Amino acid sequence: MTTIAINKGGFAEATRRAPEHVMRLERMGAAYPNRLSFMRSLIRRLSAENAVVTRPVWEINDQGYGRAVYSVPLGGDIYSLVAFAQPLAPENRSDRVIAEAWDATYALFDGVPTTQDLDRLEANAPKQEAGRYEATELSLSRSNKSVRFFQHVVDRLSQGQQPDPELVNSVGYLMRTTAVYGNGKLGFGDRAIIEKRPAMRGSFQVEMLNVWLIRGFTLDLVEHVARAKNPEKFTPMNAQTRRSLGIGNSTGLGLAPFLVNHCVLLNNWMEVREVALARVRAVETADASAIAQIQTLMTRAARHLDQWNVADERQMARIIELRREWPEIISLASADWLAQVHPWDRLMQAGAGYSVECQELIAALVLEPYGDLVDDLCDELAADVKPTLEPMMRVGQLADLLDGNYKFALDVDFSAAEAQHFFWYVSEAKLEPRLGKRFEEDGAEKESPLDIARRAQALAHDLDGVDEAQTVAEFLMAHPEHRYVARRVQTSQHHPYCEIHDNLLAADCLPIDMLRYKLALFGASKFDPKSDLWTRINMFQGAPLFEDIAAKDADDWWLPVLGENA
Amino acid sequence: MRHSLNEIEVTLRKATIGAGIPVGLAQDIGQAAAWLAACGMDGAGAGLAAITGKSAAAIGQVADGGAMTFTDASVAYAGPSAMDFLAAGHAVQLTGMDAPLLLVGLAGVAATTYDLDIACDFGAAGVVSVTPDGLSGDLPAALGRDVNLTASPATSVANDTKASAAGIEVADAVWNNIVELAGKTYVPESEASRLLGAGAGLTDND
Repeated sequence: MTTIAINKGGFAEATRRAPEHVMRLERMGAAYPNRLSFMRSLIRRLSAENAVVTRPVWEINDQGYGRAVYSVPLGGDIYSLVAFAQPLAPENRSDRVIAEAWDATYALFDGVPTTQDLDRLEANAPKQEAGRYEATELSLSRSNKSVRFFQHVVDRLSQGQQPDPELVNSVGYLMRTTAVYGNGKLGFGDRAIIEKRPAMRGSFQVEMLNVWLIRGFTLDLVEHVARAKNPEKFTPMNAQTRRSLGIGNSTGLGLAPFLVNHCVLLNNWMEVREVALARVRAVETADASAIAQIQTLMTRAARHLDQWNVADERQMARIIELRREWPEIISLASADWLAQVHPWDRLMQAGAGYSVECQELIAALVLEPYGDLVDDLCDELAADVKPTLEPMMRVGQLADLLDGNYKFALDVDFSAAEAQHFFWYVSEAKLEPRLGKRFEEDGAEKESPLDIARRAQALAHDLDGVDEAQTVAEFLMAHPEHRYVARRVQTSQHHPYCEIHDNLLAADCLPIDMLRYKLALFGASKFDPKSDLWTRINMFQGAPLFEDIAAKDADDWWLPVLGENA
Repeated sequence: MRHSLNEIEVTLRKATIGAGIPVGLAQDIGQAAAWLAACGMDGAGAGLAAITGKSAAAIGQVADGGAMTFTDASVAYAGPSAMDFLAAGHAVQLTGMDAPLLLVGLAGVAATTYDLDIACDFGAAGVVSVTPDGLSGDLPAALGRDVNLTASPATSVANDTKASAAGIEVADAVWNNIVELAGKTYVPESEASRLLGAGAGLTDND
């Protein structure tokens, strides 16, 4: 049995999983959404406030082009999605950051925009990065249609028919976003403007709100076009199908540098999840409702896995293995077995004999019945502090921190070519983050500082032989090149989950693992890797629609299943 | 043109790296520029002056009076170190600075980070006091090139006045120079890079 302790806030906690265990790319790349995910916390708040979405502007023509505004009050403030839909030539429809035109573009406005605001945004938002914005804009984004599915839905609804359920499942969205920007980019409002608002205290809440409103817009848009095409025969989409449609997303390498560049935030995200898991593992006995909920969700998870099919061989093999393992977990976790002491800790321990995907699915599952134990942690997801240098620390202590927390870096043989196979860089083409092969491509001299392992090892090398009583201030005055990594090493003292415990330059580094981790944090599911470098996902699939945000099951959309909750 | 605080911090950080200055210093310089901007001052210009100023690395010496002294100081290099020693309890002196306003920004960030009240004594030009709450009083019309820094535990608590900042105007000439330096960190576009580097295809009409 894992040790139980009483920690901050008086919560009982089992032993937390260690950073060297959970901060590995392989495990991060097997992450699943859970009740702490950013979309889930947003929907809970919207639901708790019985938020009513209004559509004060709908200037969309019969072809589906024009502009619209959706407004929603949240936490005492009003936020408005301003949407612009325009024609797009097929040759220009690209999900890459380097695209320059989209089917629809959006801004999330702080308040309710005036006509002048709309006109200003109409001159800028369709240009995205080439436009300029005011502090009233909090988030900027764009989306492209899933062309065949969008047209299919238009055709079906205009003929009085519902969309093909097989296509609803295999595609799952009408449009996919290709970038969602926030925090002061391009001149819009800094996060500092909203971070003290209770509704925005968590991570990425403004961006998630943006995307949830976009999802509603895409549903309205497709019905509008279908109705205009054939007003006599048109039928609206049934509620279950509407809820089955999320908003797609194409995600490339941009998320990967973010994780490295925001190490306190990364720590908070992981630590909150591990604290939540430790609290649930400390539950001595589960009540009947929790057991029943888990069993229902295990069955739903099995159906979700059955509906999750991807072309990527690596991921599909993992899904197939998980489909084989999951019935064994269900069989093990009978009501009687779960009624014994410390059921969730035992379930986690039992999972250790299965694949990492299976272990992480269990880790997400067991949080579900315990909102009262873990939901308070969502407010701790955002980082209030930046990494701070401790100049008075002695060099000997810095070296000890390196030895204790950066073993993953100190063990790497950087003289081997495969240890420095990749270099991360930013392309001058719309500043797209990219990954190059060091010994085959130009540009390594401009690589981005994601080489944490290599830098940590270099620091260890230069610390060797330095008087242990010297202060970090003195050391860094002579070695400013180590200031960046020294600050990170010191940060690891109080933020143990701040580093990915892998060499991100190594030939076997798979960026897709970082992307999946962050997207699972968002709350995305049905990861559909298209290569090692980018993936498509579905966001808000199964989540409440505008019209049913106040329903009592508003939080019951973990791992959506077509024909059930979605 | 108006720029957000985050734009100023991030672009200055990149520009500093583009100027050949180590990443860790670039982080400090970006934050200092944003702090100044949040206080309504020309943080971008101050940052640019520092990263295009002197290039010598900082080696301070302990002067007779016990202060850590940086002579002929490059603020980009010596400024962050000066704040380290200040936070560690030393008095600090910088002479011949190339970018004194950025030094004030660095002091502002240090005041917030280490919860200090910091006095920047520019001699005849006056004393600039920074606290976790921001700039205390007005900035002199001209700052000197020499400064004595002393710190004491803060007597005020940050009141988040900076959180209401909605960005600041930056002169186009200054911004263009910063962007140009930041551009030195970007890898030029090539067809191979375009096709391979980010993985995805170039059209998505499915």
